[in-house]
Amino acid sequence: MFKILKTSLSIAFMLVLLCSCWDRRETEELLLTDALAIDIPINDSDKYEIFFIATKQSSGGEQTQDGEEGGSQMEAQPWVARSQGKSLEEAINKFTVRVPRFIFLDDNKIIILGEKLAQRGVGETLDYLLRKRDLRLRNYIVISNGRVSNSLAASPEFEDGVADEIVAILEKGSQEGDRFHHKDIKKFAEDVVTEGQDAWAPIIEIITPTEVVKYNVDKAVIINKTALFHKDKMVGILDREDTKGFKILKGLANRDTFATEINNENITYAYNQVKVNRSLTTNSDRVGIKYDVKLKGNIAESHLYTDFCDKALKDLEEKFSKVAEEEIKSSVSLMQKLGSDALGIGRFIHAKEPDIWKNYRDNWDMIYQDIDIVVKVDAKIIGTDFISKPIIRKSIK
Amino acid sequence: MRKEVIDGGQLISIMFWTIMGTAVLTLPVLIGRHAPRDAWIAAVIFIIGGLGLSLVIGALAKKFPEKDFVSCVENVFGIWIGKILIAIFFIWLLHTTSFVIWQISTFTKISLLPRTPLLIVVLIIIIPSVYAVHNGIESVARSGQFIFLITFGTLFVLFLMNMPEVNIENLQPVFDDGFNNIIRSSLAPLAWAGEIMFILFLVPNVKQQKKITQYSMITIILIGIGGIINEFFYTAVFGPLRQHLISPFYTLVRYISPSDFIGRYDVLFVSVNLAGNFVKLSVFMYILIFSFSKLFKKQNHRPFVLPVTIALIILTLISVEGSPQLTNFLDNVFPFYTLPILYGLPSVTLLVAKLRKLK
Repeated sequence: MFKILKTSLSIAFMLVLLCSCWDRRETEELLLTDALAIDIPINDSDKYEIFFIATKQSSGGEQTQDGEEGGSQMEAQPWVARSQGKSLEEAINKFTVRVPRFIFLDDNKIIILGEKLAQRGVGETLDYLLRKRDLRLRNYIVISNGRVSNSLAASPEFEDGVADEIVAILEKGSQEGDRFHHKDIKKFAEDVVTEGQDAWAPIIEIITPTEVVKYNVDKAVIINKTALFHKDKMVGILDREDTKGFKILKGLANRDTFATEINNENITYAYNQVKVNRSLTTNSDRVGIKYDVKLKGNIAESHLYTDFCDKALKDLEEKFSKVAEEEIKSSVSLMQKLGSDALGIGRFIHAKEPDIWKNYRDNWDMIYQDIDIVVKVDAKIIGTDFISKPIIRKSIK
Repeated sequence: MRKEVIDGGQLISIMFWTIMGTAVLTLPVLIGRHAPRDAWIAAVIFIIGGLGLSLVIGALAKKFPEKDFVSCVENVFGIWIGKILIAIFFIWLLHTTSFVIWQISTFTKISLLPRTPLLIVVLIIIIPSVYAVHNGIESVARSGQFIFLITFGTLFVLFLMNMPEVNIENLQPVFDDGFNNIIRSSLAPLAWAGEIMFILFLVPNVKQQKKITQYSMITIILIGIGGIINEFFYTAVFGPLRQHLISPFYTLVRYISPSDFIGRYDVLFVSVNLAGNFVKLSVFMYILIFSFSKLFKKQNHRPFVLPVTIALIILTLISVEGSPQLTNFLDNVFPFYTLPILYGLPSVTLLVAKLRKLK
């Protein structure tokens, strides 16, 4: 009996080794995508248009006369392929049958959605992407201003491909200023499915050659706006200034500036520390929300002469607090007007006051547009960066 | 035959993975269907149910210290009723083992070998366990002890690396899912906790039989705390999105990104899961083959290893249609017949033994 068992186990084991060749994959057989871009096709009965953006490795070596390869340099070439179909799966399948590669999404870094698709609703697309097992939820999500095909026509200024360029801008830029913030699929999808919370995502757009410093680039890609969603539909855009206010209230702010004028001369405050505390307020039977924002920063630029005494600094702090408050309030008003609860005020009420939320839940869209949102900003100047006298025009000295 | 002996640590190690093996794959989905925000409460109910059953197990082990569960049931109910009860348990175990193999194989197929036929993956999964079972419970226990330390540490590190993604607000408000949903969500975990009664089959092999209650309770508390941590992380990291994920743990591990220079921790989870499920499958198959051999009054389980394995492979390939069907079955049918078998059978045996004043 033991002999039979041993023999059958050995045969089965050898079979296993032999049969595992089903999943053998050579790296050159894979199409390692950097980005997936999804949009609605123009003038077509199909529902989805999909772009695969990859960096194709090609040998730059030349053959010598005696047949040996004269080099092993690999040159990276950006490569974009397009397909469309009635569903996303059909679009991908149509593409798969015409390329001798296996599409490998595991290394994909970013998902770009077209503006029209975002306005129509991203629910189906998100659901499909979440079910793609090889796609990681760390993929960034961005919305293309206009058609995706236009955004993909941009030339990278610093990276090998446009996808790498967008990822680099998202990662570095989000830390350096408050004009946009990166968002991955997990966080985006979480916002879409969470009650009392609406989604948002950064917007990429193309700038024209005259705006591009490096003139050998035809079109360059920039990110400085935020798309706002309600449920799964894009309902509006926050521009770069409004995005700053939005990031501060979301607790995502890192550093940026507020500028004001004193005696018709500019003075700029650069904050680098932000603390936000939000609390619920009750006024008779109405619930409101209060944001206490504490900013700390320096006077980064001054075009007027002042000795920055304590009183002057106090006055400046008050002035900058007011400027910041106005800008943040403008951002909040726009979000309320658009009906997008990207700040998650509904979710906050749900978490803190579940009984009140029960009454609000069904009519939250209406209630949100009228809810009292109070913003108080306390901007502190912790340094002036002006040890020596600034160089200014003699006329105003 | 030489009597095989396992110590307390080995028993806890193998029972930990016997319950945890498929629990990390399936339970988050089943719990999340009913109570996504209060999922951690299901793990607390798991502990309560498991501890209750541990007391029954301890009392039975104390009453029949040298008897395995088959002999114990036959002794309490008489040969024929005993055999019928064990046959019912055997059918339950055969069926359950088939979809345990299906779950492990499908997870391996999806995560590692997507184009390899299921039969081949099933063979890859089942062969190590068949070998371990053939060698006896001591081999299973020793490999279980070795695997336990490595896998436990790895899981702990994997969770720690997700700390930056935790959002406590996702767990608020507590009890928001409602009492009925929380209770409904805890039925499947309770059924999993019932597997702790497998200890009753191993009682004669345990070195310190007086401490069976302690071993059983420690196992349940370890798994329960693990379950609370698991559910806490799924909800805190994914919020309501956890309801839409096919495999929350796998997704959680794939989401880890503490730094730019080291990534792709999925391989750790897949390895841990394969190792843990090797223990689970070995214990399931050992108990299955052992109870089958006992049913026919055979002292040596080895002649039954091959036929039961072949039956299991066939059953695995025909009993499950697909993941959605299995998930629905595990959620809507499995707990309702598993709870009476795993909790009811030992409890009734103890009750009758007490009434009959058997020793």
